[in-house]
Amino acid sequence: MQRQAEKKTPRETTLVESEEAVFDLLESLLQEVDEKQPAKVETTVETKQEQQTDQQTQQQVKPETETQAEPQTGQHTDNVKIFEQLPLEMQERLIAQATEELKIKNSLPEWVEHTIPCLLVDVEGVEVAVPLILLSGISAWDQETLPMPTQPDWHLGVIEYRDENVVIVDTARLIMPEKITQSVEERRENHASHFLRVGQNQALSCNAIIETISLKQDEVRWRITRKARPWAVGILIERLSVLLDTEELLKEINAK
Amino acid sequence: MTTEVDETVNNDPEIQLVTFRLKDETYGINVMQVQEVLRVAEIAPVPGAPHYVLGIINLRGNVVTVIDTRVRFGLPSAEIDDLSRIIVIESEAQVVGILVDSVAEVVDLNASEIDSAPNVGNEESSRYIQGVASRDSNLLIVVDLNKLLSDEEWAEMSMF
Repeated sequence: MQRQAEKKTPRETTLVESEEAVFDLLESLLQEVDEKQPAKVETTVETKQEQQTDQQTQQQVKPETETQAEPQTGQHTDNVKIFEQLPLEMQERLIAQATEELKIKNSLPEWVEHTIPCLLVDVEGVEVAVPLILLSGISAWDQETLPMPTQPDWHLGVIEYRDENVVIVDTARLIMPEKITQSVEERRENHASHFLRVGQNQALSCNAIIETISLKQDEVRWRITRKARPWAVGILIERLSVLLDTEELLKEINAK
Repeated sequence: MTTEVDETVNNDPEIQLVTFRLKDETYGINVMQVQEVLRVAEIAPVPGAPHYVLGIINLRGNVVTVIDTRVRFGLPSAEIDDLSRIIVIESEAQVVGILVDSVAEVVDLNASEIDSAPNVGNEESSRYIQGVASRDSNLLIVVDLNKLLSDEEWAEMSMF
């Protein structure tokens, strides 16, 4: 279930990429307009098809790639003309919007797809969404926990899970240490009810499993820069839960 | 004569302030920076956020960060009650909510009525105080919202 995703390095947005993004946006907007006027679109398509048929009958056989490339180039030129005719204020707004979308796109972790199946869990009263693709197991925490000496306070101990030794990580202690006042021993004795298997031999503790949901990219407010709290990839707009990047959280653990 | 009167009016612009209460004091903020005033609904906590951030709310599909103004001003926190309100403001191109004890009225002032007062408030709040004005024998503390947070803190507001 888990895959070792390579971290996507955020890169600077070039001017060319910004322009391309603007035209992609324009294209999508024009497609929306066309969809609302189906009769007109069909007529236009038919006309183009008739023209192409005429061209094909008059000329020698063209390679398929060239035939397919022509409409796209034409569409791009049309988009440029449309864009240049827009009021300056609208041009600037579109560029800003497209640049923002491109920044978001470049900042997304590699595991982000069009839809993101997630598990919603409760961590000390705070709802957290964990992408299913980053999990390798979910279990009730009813195994005996072996405390390990001289470990940091997020290290709650080791359990045996599926014939492997797994370190239980105090998720709450990691993501909201300001709210945790109990000692490690107290946290271990009154431990959370479940854990989520992540990484090679680690598991994140959680107080309850809520439900699974399937997120769309536009249902998340993505964090473009993540210098602080790199594990918080974004916020679920509807539920106001934090979307947790467990890979970043593990990096933080392993760096400690 | 007319020119002199015009010059006086232009040099003493009228300002409208939305006033709110924190503990025993009344504060005012520029009405042009106020988007709306909300009753306090569910504020979702944000793990790892600074201590002055109460959490986030969903405002018509937008995620808005809510600041605990009492904490930001160095005052002790208070329980949220029926009079508590979230004032949604725009500053430094960011939209945030500030939690206050209650919202009072919109007050009209001339700029000349606002005096600079370096000794008003405590050390925490004095950074944000633009000045003070007297209204109906009560002291009104005028807050400079742009100084409520540093540039870096403002930039973080949209990243929760």
